[in-house]
Amino acid sequence: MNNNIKNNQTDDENEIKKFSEMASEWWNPKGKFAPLHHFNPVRLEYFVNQIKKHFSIAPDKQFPFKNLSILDVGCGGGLISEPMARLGGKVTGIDASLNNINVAKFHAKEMNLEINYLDVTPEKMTKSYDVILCLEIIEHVADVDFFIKSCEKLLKKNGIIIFSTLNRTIKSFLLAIIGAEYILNWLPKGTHSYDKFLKPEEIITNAIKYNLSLNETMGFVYNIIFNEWRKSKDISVNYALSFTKN
Amino acid sequence: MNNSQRIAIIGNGLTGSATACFLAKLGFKIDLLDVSHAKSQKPVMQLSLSDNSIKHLEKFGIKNIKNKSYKIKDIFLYDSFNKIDFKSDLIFSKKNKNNLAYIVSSNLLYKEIYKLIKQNKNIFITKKRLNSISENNSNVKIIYEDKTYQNYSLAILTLKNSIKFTKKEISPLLVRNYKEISNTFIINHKKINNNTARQFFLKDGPLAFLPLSKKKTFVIWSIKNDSKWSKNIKNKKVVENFLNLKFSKIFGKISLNTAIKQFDLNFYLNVTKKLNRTILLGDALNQFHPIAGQGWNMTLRNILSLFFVIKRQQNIGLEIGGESFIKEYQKEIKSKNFIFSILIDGIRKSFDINNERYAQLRKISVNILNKNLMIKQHLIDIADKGLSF
Repeated sequence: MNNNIKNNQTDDENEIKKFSEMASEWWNPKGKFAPLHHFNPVRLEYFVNQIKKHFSIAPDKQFPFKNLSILDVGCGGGLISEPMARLGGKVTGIDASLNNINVAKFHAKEMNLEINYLDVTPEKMTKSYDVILCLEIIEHVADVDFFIKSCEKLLKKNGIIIFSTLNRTIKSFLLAIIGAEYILNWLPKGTHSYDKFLKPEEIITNAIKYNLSLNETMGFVYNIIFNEWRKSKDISVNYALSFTKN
Repeated sequence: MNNSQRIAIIGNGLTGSATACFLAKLGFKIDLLDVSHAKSQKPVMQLSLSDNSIKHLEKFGIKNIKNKSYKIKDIFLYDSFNKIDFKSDLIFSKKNKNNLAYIVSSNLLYKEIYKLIKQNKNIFITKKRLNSISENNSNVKIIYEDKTYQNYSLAILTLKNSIKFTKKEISPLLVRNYKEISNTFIINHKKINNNTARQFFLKDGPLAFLPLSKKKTFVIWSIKNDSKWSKNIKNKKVVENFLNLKFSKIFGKISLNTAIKQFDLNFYLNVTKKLNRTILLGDALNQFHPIAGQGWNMTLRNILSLFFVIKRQQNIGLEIGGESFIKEYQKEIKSKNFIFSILIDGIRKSFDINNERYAQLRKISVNILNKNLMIKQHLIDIADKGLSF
């Protein structure tokens, strides 16, 4: 694995082939990450609108995020970083997995997008950003309080930070773990552990401690009959919280 | 800027130009490729546009069509299997002041669209011959005969003969050769109140009159290959005599204004296989029997569907082209097109059966249908807006 691609685009054909295969795994809408692809348009639409609203950007502006620096924490293969870059944002994507970073780099190059991908965790960073996105990541970190604190430090004053994750309720246990991992086989078994799911107030309490004020809470629900995700007031399973830094 | 998404449109005819015009509104750089090999221009056709089609064209800045078109208030259908009389079997007319259809020449519409294209700095017209079109994960690559090439996010094929450059990854879902030749010409006649389109289902094939003015009418007569008329139609005098003999009650003295143009009638609906960055529109996608006058209305509806799917994806930063994009697009149009095609093919087939008893039964059914206003209104709505689920 490792550093072959880090010094960027070596001509090692095997490496390229390997990352190409991994990228197609991340980016295949019918593959391993299919549920994420299915969920992506709905949450993207919400985040894009939240950011536009926050910075008073006209809804039909051509490259709406042109003057914004955006940090995507836990970027994975770049499913969020790429759309943000396409909307004109100056995007940095970070992930603890070097593997993911290499895949994301490979795919962005294929797509002809300029995105700064780094294999690093937020506490080791120093630059600050207008927008920080922590999507489906907080339920995987070791220390929630420290994670929020580290992210907050990277947010510019009046910037916006969005967390999205899974609620710790009976319903989310049934749907996200029993349903998605064991019945529907959407996700590999063991992807999520229930006791790491967070109730919204647990994030909010921590965030307020670090000078963040809550803008909005939004839920996302999956309708099994129509096979589609929708925005909802119901925050008992998937939800997102957006904060502004005072 | 971080946006390198480019779109290629193959064919700068009516469909290609309209598509370019619409998509340029979304800010994409568009190459409109003129790939015509000879100077073979498509013949000028009379298009029948629905009220809804006109409204959409206006929304995209193509404004003069309504004024310059000739308005149709009613459509009369005659089941003239046994004899031609003027008691219409099925009548469609719109209740409110909107017209049923607007007749406009393809040439006029093309000129109006072309004006907008010339003003648009995002559309580049290039005259080049194609060699091949191939896809990979991130691009569709168009290679030209001179070995130069260009990568695009999306390629839109609008010409039937451009399909072959994709190496057989496109195949017909439905094909039918109607075994008829369509003959078109314009007639002059006495000044009449000419706001009715008429279709006579003759034994030899359907004969349609589309008004162009009070003194001019466009005629489409699709003649079966095994009919005696397939030879006679070449003789202008014979045709003129026949029309005067049978239709002078409507038109007075009739004279043929133009030469008789002929073209083959085929029916097809093409589908792409495993193509994620190639989209078919217009002739590349389908051809219908002109019987329902639905050809370009449906093409326009497909262009609009494409426009809205692209707009939706673009708004949230998703890629134009690619598997997810194509899935969205197909969801939007595929089943609609299929059902629509079958519907039109079905109408054609039902008038194609030359059996006395079937013909009697058909005449009765059509007359019953004529009395059912609700079904009729429904059919008018389908013709106007297409199918919606």
